[in-house]
Amino acid sequence: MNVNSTVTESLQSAAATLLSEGKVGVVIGYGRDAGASISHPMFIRKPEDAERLVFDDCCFGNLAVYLPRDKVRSMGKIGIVVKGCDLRAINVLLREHVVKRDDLVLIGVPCTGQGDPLLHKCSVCEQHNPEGCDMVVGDPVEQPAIDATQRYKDAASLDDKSLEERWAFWSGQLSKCIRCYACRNVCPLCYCKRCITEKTIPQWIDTSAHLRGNVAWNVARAFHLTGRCVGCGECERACPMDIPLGAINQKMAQLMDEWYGFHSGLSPDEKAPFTTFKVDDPETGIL
Amino acid sequence: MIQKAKNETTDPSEWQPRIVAFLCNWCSYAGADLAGMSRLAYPAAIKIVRVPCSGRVDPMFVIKSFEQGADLVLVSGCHPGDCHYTSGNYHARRKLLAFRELMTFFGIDPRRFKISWVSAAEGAKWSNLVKEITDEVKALGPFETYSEILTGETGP
Amino acid sequence: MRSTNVDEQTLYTAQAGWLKSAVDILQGAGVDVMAPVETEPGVVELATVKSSEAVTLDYQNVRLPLKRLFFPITEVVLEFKSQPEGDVDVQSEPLVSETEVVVLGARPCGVAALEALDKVFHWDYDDVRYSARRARTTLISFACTRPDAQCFCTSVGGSPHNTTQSDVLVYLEENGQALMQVCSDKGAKFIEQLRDVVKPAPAGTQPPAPPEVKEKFDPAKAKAWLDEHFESDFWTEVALKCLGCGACSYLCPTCHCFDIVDEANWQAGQRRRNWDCCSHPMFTRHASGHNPRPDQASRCRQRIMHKFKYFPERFGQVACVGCGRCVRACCVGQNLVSILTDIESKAKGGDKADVASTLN
Repeated sequence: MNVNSTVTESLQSAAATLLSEGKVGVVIGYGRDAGASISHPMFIRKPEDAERLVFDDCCFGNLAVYLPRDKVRSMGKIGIVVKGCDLRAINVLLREHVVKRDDLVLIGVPCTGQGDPLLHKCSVCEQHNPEGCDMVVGDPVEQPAIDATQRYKDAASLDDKSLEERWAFWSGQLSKCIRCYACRNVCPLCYCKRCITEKTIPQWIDTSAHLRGNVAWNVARAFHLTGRCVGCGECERACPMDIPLGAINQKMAQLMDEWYGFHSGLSPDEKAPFTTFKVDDPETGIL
Repeated sequence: MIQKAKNETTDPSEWQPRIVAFLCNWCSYAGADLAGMSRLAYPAAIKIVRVPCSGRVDPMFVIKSFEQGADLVLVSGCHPGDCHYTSGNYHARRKLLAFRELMTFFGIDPRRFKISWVSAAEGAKWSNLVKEITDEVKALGPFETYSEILTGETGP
Repeated sequence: MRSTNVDEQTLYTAQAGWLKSAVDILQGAGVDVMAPVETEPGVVELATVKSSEAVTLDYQNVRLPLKRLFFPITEVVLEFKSQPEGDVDVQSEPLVSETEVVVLGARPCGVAALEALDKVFHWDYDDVRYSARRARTTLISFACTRPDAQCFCTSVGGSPHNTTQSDVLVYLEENGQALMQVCSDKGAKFIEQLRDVVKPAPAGTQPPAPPEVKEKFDPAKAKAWLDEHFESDFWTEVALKCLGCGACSYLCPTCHCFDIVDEANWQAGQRRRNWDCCSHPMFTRHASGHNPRPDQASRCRQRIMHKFKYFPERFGQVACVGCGRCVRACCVGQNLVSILTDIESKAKGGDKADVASTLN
């Protein structure tokens, strides 16, 4: 673990100031337990606790997942530590009117990437310096040029395979699913109070962890995130069965990119592909 | 075991595919109606579900149809520009094409999922379309990818 | 922790290559052999093996808990089919096959968890499927050699060399030999089947000392606090970070909540029993819409209370074996151990301790 001490110090003082001036009721950031392998989400409500915040290269979690929660909202205005990638999720929450911009104080953190080796999302990240935050702690970092061909590499590695090979791969992967719903609960954009898999009249998705139910669940999950997913990769990280969910999301993001030139979460004002249309949209394969 | 309907037998020469079609109320359903009134014959393998608009069709309809034993699913709506609700078919177009790509990515045969535009005046198009897709699905045979997972006996 | 002084009469030594012989002998006897297999890079699960070549001995623990062999993630309970005249034909799914199963290489913690599960599944109702699966299965545990920082079996009365519910505990040795400790009649039968490669241990043989697993908390002290704190802000604090996913419960070797669902089309269907978990809001939601555990705080409380208060009160043991899966699986770093240590420190310092500053 490498603690970024400059950012950590500025972060602590910014959080303490926001809390002591009453500008926010809570600051959501990262903390670190001794001996822990990752930094974890932390809720700070008193200025004197701000010194427990930390920013290092293991701040994997996407804190935006907490924003739609009633318990968190009831604490008042929310200060939230955001990396560029987290900001994309918040932009989607804003464009979907799940949270109001006025209820948030965005504490941007320039980030050169998380994990060692770097997470995939970090190696293709073009948001090292979050834009549109209320404040930025730490100095801007250099934004390296990214290799856009790598953006969808996990999906691309499967695109080359035949239909039968893909089914063999995915039926094997999806058979592992135990339906714990960690992928859903960790996703900042899966904020439905009652998920489609929990609906019983009709029962769209079999809740049993057999392949039939697992395929239906994973198709539904992927499709509900199409044009919305910002590629934070939390679902794949959370999956206790190591199912490569990121590849599915990449595939759908790639389609949105190729068909509509759309990248989700770059601005709170964007229109999601499935909420709009063009008369001359691609129409291949319609009879 | 969830069972297949009685009219399906395992003998390939007798095998009849099952096609589930979601037709928009205003164009394609009327088109199918016209085909009937015009006495245009088409295969009876197709089971029609009327929906208000092709934009109403959720991908879960398609998955559910496969789960219940469909060998092919068709969604048909008004031609672009003709939607009774102005833009439902434009939305359907974006969603359903993306869904077909998702199916393909998972290795679920995209030939099992068809999208078409059939207007209220196109009784003949409807009749020919049903003949074509019935022939195609007969050539493909039973949808084994799905029938294999119907029993639900896999899992960790 | 159990004493390391073991009755010499129960100890046997197995010669190098015993594993191959064991698989072959059991296969020959028509037994299903399950053993640790590397199913994907870095992941080891118990799977049916046909030969010892597929078996890996290089593993810390298997990913899915052992409970799935007795209480499967999803199982058919009965099948139904519509009949003419509106009748319904209901067929109870036949009980599990009677083919004998030998698990070679379960970990002691996973096996010990069966003690808790046995009590639940034989409690007010004898669960025939569970019992039938238990009865046909012989559990050959491999002593744990490399507990990691997340392991805490010693805090909940276990040990890397725990013999609870094991039929045989095997201490693997570097040279391919092994020391075997027989713990039950089933275990004795297993040793008898392996008589060509196993012989009684020489006088004075004792198993090696278990590797050290740090004791992290005392469940008895935690229980004393839990007894008094059904209502506490502590639960709100714990729940704040919890995302309410089921990874911890699904991977827990002692969690045993299930859901019953009917899956059917217009002609026929199945009733299934599936794993479920108390972290999910739907688990307790009534048909009326009322939910007696309406928020994550009450659900988190239930998980801790069930393991460390209700279960001990009813069955005289905690429903936790310290395998550490929940700690490893949690994607927000929520941690059963840290929750229990916090509770223990509260128990020591009265309830004056500042909740917010002890958590996160």
